[in-house]
Order: sequence, then structure tokens, then C-alpha cells
Amino acid sequence: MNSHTSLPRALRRIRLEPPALSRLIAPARALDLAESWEIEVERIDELEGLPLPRLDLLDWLGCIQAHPHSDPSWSQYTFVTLALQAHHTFELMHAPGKVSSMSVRPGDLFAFQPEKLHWLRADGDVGFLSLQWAIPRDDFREVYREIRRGLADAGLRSAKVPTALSSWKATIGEEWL
Amino acid sequence: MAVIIYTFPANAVKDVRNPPLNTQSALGAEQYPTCAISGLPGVLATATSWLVCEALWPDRASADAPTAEIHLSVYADHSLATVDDHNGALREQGIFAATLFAQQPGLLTWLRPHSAFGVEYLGLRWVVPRASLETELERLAAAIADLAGEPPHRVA
Repeated sequence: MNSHTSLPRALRRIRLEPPALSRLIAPARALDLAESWEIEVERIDELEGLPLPRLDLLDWLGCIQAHPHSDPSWSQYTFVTLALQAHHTFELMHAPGKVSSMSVRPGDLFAFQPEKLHWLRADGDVGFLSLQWAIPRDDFREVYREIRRGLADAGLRSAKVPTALSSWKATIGEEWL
Repeated sequence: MAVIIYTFPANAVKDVRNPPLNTQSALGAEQYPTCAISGLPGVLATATSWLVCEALWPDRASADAPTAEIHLSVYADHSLATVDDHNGALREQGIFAATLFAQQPGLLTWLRPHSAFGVEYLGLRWVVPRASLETELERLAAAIADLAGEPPHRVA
């Protein structure tokens, strides 16, 4: 019942350690996105000099919170989200009425399929700011490996976090590594 | 029943005075104050509490919960969504002023504001035994119809 393997693959979480995170400087125009009522997205500007792989697939994404929605126009992509500023809970309905739940803090990296119903709840007064790769699903394995390799140089570590399953919700724990 | 919704003319809640103000609540935190309910007209004075919130995030009560909730919106520009466990069907219904609504416990459900310009939800809330949810809902609908001076429309 409480086996880690029963988690949907989409919500495994990885965390970027603080020294690596501190090298990712958000410009003012990106910080503004975190104060937006609706989700706002802006292309990465290569002049921002982010030490990250696959800048060609990367956007800034920010909002105060996001009510339940799906993104059908992105159904051929998998989103990989790296939170820079966050004190939120991300949840995704992976089957009718069944929900995966995960706290999101700065440095967390997670993948999900955007055509599934998902939402982002604010747990505090901090706006949400992330870097998000939109990876064509046909190329996911290859591109994701490329991103992981690039992030490893920036201090990425996999996180093993406790999981609690109820009859309808799988909660990925809050524990810091 | 999965969800039952009645709409009344807005004058059904025109005498709902001294509602609590949602000034200090944290984003997303719902509140259940009980002040000034006993002074409300008619059956409204029997409410268990107010509900003050910006949204109710997706949640589900246990299907065998001993109690269920009935809500009457006073000030709202929201939608109530429920997901059917069996086929995943998502139903969403508009909740505006003077809407009486209840749902069977056990469904994944949420209440969201329609825009950033009117996020506050204010309503009255009755907590009733699960077994008598439908009876209580009909009883409240009839009593509120007396206050409104006309019968409600059942929209779901």
C-alpha cells in the first residue's frame, strides 16, 4: 500500500541543492510573473546566461496560484518544471477522482503531463516562479536524459521522499534532504 | 444525487446583513465564522456557520462521512466542479448570489472564482446528517422560497 513504486511516474521529485540554485538568477521581468493571477509564460532570453541545458525548450512560468485546469494544446509535450520561488502544493488528477499531491519548494524539479487536470495551491504568501521545459513526448527519454546530465553539473541530486497513500490521494512528503 | 442546485432570486438574501468581512484571511484559507447568524431572517438563522473563502481547492469527503453540507451563497461569482469517479466526467455549475447547493459526499470537488476581480465567496452553511441530506435540502429550499416570495429553479 505504501510502496514508492505505486506512485505515478510523473510525480517523482528531484531537488536542486541551494548552491546550485543560487546560480539561477531570475531577471525582474521573470519575478513579475510570480505576482500574476493567471499563469504567465515568457520565453527564456539567452542573454540571461542561465547555466542550464536545452534553453531552446525553456520558458519562465509564474503565477500566484493556478485553479484546476488542463492544457490540451500541450498534449504532445511533457512539462519538466524547476521551481525557483515556491511555497505551494502541486496536485494532478492521474485517474478519475485520484490525485497525486506534492509540496513544491525552491529547487524542486518534477515532470508531468499537461493534458491531465492539475492545479497549484499557495501555502503561503510567496508567488510561484519556475523554469519549465516543454519536451516533445516522442523525444522525452533522450531530452530528459540530456537535461538531467546538464543539471548534474549544477548540483542536482535525486531525492527520496516519503509517500503517503490514501484511498484517493498519493502525497509525496515534505522532507528536506 | 450527485449534486443538487437551486437558484433563487437575489432578493432571497437581500436581508442578510452584517456578514463577516474577509479581511485578514490567508490566501486560500477558508473561514467558518458564526457571528450574527442568529439575527438573520427566517430559516437562515439556523445555519451552522458562514463560509468565507476565495476558493475551495480540490478535496473529497469520505463517501461514508456521517455528515454532509448544504450551502447558500450570499455573494459569489464562482463555479462548483465535481468529478465522477467512474467515468472521469467533470461537471461545473455556476454559483452566484442566492444559490442553494449540496452534493453527495465522496466526490472530488472544488469551488473556484471566475476572475481576479471578484474572488470573495460568502455564504451560509448547514452541516446535516448524511442520511437526511436530501430531506434537509428540500426543507431549506421550501423555507428560503418563503423568504424570497417565489419558488426556486432547480438547475442541477
